[in-house]
Amino acid sequence: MQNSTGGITRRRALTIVAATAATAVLPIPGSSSTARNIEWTGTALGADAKLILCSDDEARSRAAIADCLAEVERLENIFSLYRKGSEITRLNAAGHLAAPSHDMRLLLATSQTMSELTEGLYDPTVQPVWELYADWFTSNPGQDGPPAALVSQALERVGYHRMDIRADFVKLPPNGRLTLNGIAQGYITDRIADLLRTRGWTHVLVNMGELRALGSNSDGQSWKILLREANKGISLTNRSLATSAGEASTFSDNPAVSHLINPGTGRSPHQFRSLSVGHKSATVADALSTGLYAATPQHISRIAARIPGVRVWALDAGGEMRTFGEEVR
Amino acid sequence: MRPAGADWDYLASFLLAFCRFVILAAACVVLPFSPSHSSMLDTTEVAALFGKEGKNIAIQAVEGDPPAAAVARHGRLFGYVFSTQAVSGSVGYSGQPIDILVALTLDGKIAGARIVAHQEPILVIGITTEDLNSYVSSFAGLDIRQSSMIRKVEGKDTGVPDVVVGASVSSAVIRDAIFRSARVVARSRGLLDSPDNMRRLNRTAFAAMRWEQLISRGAVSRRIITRGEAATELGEAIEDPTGIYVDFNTALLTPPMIGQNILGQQVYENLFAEMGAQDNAVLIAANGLYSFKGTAWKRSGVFDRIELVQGTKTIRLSKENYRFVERLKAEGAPPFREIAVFKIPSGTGFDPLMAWRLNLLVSQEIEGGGVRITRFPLDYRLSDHFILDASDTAQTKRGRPEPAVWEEIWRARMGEIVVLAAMLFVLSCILIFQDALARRLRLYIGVRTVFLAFTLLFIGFYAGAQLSVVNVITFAHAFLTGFKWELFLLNPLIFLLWSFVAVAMLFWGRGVFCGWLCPFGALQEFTNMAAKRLKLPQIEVPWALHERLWPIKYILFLGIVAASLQSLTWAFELAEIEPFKTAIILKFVRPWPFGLYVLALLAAGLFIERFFCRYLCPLGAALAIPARMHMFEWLKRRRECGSECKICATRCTVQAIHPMGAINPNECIHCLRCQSNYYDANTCLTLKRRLARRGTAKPASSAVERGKDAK
Repeated sequence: MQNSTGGITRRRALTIVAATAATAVLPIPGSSSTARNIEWTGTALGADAKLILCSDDEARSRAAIADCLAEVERLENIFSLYRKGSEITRLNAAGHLAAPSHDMRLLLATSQTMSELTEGLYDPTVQPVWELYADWFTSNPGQDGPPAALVSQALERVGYHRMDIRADFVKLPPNGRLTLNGIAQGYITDRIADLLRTRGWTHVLVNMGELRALGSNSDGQSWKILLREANKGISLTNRSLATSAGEASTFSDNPAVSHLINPGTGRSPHQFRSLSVGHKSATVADALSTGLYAATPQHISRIAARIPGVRVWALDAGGEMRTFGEEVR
Repeated sequence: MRPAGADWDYLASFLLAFCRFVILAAACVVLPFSPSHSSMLDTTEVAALFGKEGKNIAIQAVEGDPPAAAVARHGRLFGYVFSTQAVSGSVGYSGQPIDILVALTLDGKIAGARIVAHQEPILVIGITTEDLNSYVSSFAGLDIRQSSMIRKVEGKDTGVPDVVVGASVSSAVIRDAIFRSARVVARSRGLLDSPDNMRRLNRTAFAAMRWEQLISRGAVSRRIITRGEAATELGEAIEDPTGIYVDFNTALLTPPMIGQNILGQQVYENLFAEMGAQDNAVLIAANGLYSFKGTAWKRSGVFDRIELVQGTKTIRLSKENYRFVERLKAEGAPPFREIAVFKIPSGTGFDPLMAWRLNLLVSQEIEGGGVRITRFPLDYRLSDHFILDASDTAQTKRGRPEPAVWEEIWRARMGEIVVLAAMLFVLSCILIFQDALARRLRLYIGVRTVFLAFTLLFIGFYAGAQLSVVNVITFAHAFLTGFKWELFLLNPLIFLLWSFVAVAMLFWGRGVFCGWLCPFGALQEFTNMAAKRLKLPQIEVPWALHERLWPIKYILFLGIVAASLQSLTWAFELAEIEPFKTAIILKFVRPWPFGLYVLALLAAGLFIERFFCRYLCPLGAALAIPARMHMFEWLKRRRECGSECKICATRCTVQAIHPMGAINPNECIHCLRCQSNYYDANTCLTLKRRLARRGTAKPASSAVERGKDAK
């Protein structure tokens, strides 16, 4: 488990570096506005996090940031696998959870929907396979992955459709384990963005593991994000961007086995080096970027066509960038 | 004048000097060995104090001022553990350090406590260390921010453990040590800095307010969402954008100024009567198209359209905390389509002083499956109108400072103090008007009997305020280990008695205590009185033997003093020579040898009046030594006493009158019997003879006649 925390952080760090580089590098000179970017950096769900608020009122910005941090803390108390007593930890320990928060219940319901939309390529119940890999590489460092028998055994415990989600009770599949690491960062990003929006903030970039932009930046420009591996700039206005990159997060020195697992095969997919998804909702973008990473290009086109307003940038193993879905703006 | 007594004069002054010497010498020996505190804390033990298993507990070093060790569980700060000795230099009744290990949780509660070291006298025999330890451990769970130090203040049970029977001062000292140290540590570690310490909810003030006033004062928070606004958020098209989607109101109901106005007195009181003192309640009332209740809650028990969020806390609003309210009682309140009151238990961590928000959740089916949730937050922050802030708190504090523990005890025992003070006043009058009293035989006998009955029943059996040689030792040692008045003020009756005895001793000698205020003395006098009624033979100890038995008590006293220099425990064990604890304080509820000992003493007292006082009482000895200094010689004697008549000497309760007629102040218990004899023409031969000489017209031989004289 120790390993995995480190791995997650590394994976996320990549996205953050990209975002940071982009926003830091691209200020447009000559702006007459007194508004400026007020930044906060820290961590959320173990990943680097960043908030940029455009305001000329620093005190108000700081107060808003403090509110956001409390909200992040609150949501981590629900979704963090690494926090003792969080709802997800209790759910995993018991297999069921009475009196879940609305956040947990709603995100589980959304996860299930996303699993269906991705034809099972995104599956929050894939955790048993992930744990198999983590344990395997802890006791067999430097080796190949676990034998197929073990993997298929773990796969038997996977299955999003076997989750039972009710208002006052949620239940996992038998012996099931849940991870929301492929969606919770997007959800937290959305919640923070919503919180700021309802507080009247109109020019904000939220990065809680995934990115979401409200309005434009202090220079009146859309927020510029750099997809570092693809060396591609993306403009974000009132949209979210989520990225998955397998090589950034491996269990061991073996680059063939990453934290991203195809819930169908139980193996790490390799056709892409990184995959980014743009959508209105960071939750949706996050789940898609996790799930589509294991998809074939044909598969991605099919799924993307099903979801309005989605855009996918996939950098394949050969270094070629392919885009799917609608071109927004 | 007093040939035999003169020897004792010398002895007494010698003893006095000797005592001074030994105490000073002792000071030199004892002081360098002031106890050092062990800083080694055992993990299992500390974990047990917190009621946890030891394996996840880590104790950090004792540090800071006041010194305390932080305790972590699962790597997170969990509480503090400290020694009362190290924090507040707690001193027991013995005058020696008493050390209690106390575990304090982060929310200011005492998790557990255990005595590490003590030398309390009461524990020597009779009351076991287990008794005291169970008393100490009964402090577990007490909230130091709330509990007063006295068990019952103004009739309310504060949950503070009661005393260990018979060890009231030790109990008070322990209570004080635990509370005071815990408060000091809690304050220094910021555990008392929670907002409700500085700022707290005004849970008392009430004034009628109209709905508009409640809104303008910030008691009610309101958000109106138009259909247009909702449509924009929800991404739907709408025909009439000006209509109201939802008119959403919320209020904290806990302060009566808000809750009682909104709900009306009856509903408010019923609601809060079923809730804990720290629980809160919140109102949600709405009009408009959208129902915040929905219908799902009736089946699932969860209100899925609303959630309460405060900082990092998510508070579920569920059916079991829901209360139906038909309408709002505040004047001017509009009729609401939906009203709900939710109890917010304190266990949720909800802080009524902090801002919170009520989210209204609207879910939509989205194309392609799934639901989309839109949240409409309504922010609430309790207005300062309903909060007592730091200055209010400070004012209350200034007006009524946190009383010292002894002040609380004095207040709690005021009734007993008043009775004792009255008794002491009466006794002062008896002493000042002793001649007038002694002249009236029946009155004297009546007054003395009633007073002794009070001494035995009230001071002794009821209040347990029997002075003891242990007090003397404790007092002496207090000078060696750092004198603190507080220690002696902890038992108001003992304190008052000693103060009175000290002054009375200077005026009249030690007898004022022994003859009037000693419950065991009174008990002996009553048993002897009964013996005389039953015509039991009274033994008059031959003077030569009598005189030679006196020193026993002085030897016992000096032995106790000497022992105390080495070990207070020894001294307190030796002090068991006193039957006081068995007979008076514990009322014979002790192992049988103690009871037998007391019965033997009382039996001896049937034949030799006040046998124990005469020969054995170390307290009497302790008082007799300085009593030589008494200023007044009010006990009247005649020239003929001792030569022509020895009747007083034979009738003296303790044979303190030398056959030669002189009263030995070291032995005299100031019972005034000789004074009564002095004025009684039926007893005093000299008086009888004198009256006879004056004329036969006045035989003056009957008590009736003498009674007339007196008038």
